[in-house]
Amino acid sequence: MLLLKFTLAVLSIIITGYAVFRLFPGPKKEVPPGEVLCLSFGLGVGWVGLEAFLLTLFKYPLSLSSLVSFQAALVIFAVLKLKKGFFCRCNASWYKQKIYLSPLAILFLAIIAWEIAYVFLKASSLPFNAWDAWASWGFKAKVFFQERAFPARYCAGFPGFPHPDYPVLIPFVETYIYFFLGKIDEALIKLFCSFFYAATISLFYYQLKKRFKAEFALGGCLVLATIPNLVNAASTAYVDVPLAFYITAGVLYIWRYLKEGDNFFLILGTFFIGLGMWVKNEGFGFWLALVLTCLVTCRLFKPEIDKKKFFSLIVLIPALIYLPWFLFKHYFRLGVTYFQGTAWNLGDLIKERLPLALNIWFGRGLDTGRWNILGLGFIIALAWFFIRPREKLAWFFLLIIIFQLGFYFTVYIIWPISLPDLELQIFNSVDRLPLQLVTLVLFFICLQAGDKWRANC
Amino acid sequence: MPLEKKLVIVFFGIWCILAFKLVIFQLQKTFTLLLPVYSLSLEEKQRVIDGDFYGFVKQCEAQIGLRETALFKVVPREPDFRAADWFLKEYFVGRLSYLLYPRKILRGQNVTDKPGYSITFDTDSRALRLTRL
Repeated sequence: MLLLKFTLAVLSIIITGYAVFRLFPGPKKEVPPGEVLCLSFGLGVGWVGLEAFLLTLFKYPLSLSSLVSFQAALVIFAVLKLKKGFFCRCNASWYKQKIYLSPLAILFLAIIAWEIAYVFLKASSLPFNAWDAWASWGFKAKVFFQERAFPARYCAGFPGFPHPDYPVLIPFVETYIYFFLGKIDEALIKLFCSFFYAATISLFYYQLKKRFKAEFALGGCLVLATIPNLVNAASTAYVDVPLAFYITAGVLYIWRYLKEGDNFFLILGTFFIGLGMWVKNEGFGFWLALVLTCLVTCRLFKPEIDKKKFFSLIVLIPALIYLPWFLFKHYFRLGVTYFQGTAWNLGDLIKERLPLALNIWFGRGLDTGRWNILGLGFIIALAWFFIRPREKLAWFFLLIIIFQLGFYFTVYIIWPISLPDLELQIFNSVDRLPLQLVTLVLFFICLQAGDKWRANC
Repeated sequence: MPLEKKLVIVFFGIWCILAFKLVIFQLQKTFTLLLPVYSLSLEEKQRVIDGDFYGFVKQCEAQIGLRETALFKVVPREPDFRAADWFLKEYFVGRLSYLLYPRKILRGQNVTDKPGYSITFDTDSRALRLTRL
């Protein structure tokens, strides 16, 4: 019975996301149904989380009926507005395609399926057992569920309340699922969070498949699915994997806009970046990194796009999505100071902290038990890219990675804590922060290495 | 075969060997840990995670009223992050806060909040005590 309620909760999220997806101005070419499913899931999670937050903001008590009624209204509106267009078009090109998979591709698919099944099993076998899963996100979801509101004044004044400055999208979605279940069930929440792992792999496949043969695309997905740290994080209900999903979707669709010029992908990508800002604070840094990257990319490579529209959408859509949380956080003083001020000299901080951070990051990054040989692969692909670039626009990925790493290291340098505490924090974050960039690193490697497996070869 | 294709195949081959080791480890873990744990009751699963600490949580749950505040006297004013048991102590405070919500669990230094209970952590015997003030 509980599993049925959980399934209904997930379905309601996907249907809501599908309605949002259909309300976007349509793409020039129909998107494959598997990709639509992943996008609907991501958009649905965003809608549900933001809806719950806005309801509490207007002092509307949270309940299943209040949440579902707004979703139902959205779906009805979408059906009435789009009529037949609400449902997928069965004359689309993907519908007529015959699927043939070689034995190698089937083997790759089997391994990926095993990894997903293992993550689902591991996630659903135990309640929360990883620190931040319960001490941060799970705790908030429990508070929202029990109070049927976001007791912000209470949270700001309660010393035991975890990380009040962290965005609340995932805790509100967890609360939504608790409302469906009628109780708190941590194992099912872990299972829900592991869906992001499957969705990230699927989205990655569809983006690779656009350019490369199925075997190569599946090989890339196999590499992604078997990164030990990603597999580990996917079953713990840490929100780094959901953030990785939003970042992957955001960047890959914006990149696709740069390549194909279809506005649909630009709007979709910016929405995902905006939702990523609601998942974790790093999402905000990522948005800044993206804006910088787009500026440099347009300056250096002059893609054939409407630059004014491009920049205004990249800046405005994520900023508008993030604005309610930004105002709320500052109104209730939920912020945390990450800047030291004038007490310490910045030059001394860099000299003291940067080598420490780099040392830990390089040491862990090349650890095959944590990342397989992804670090080595990235170094080789980078060297190869500088000698003979296969795709000049791959700079787009490289710049985002560089700027985002710059953001992480800046926080390490200016964070007002002592050196031993900082060392502890770097060790705590070094296995998780790179997860947010792992798909971009892998996509960059694929662009450089996949020349012999191009789809039209 | 071009050099770059060879390079990709070698990279992928090494990756698959290491990934194969991961899959074998996962298979072992599935049969020795995950599947046996899957059929346990929720309380038994909590004991897998927290051990005897879960018994203490249940004891606290029975004795502290739903909206009452309790003081957990374990964390010093200046937490020593280097101390071997720092994580343990921090874990217990956080875990109690989470598991006992909406009961409010405060750390030792917040003595001004007039809690109704005092929870003490005896580091020598590793026993946990809950005392009404």
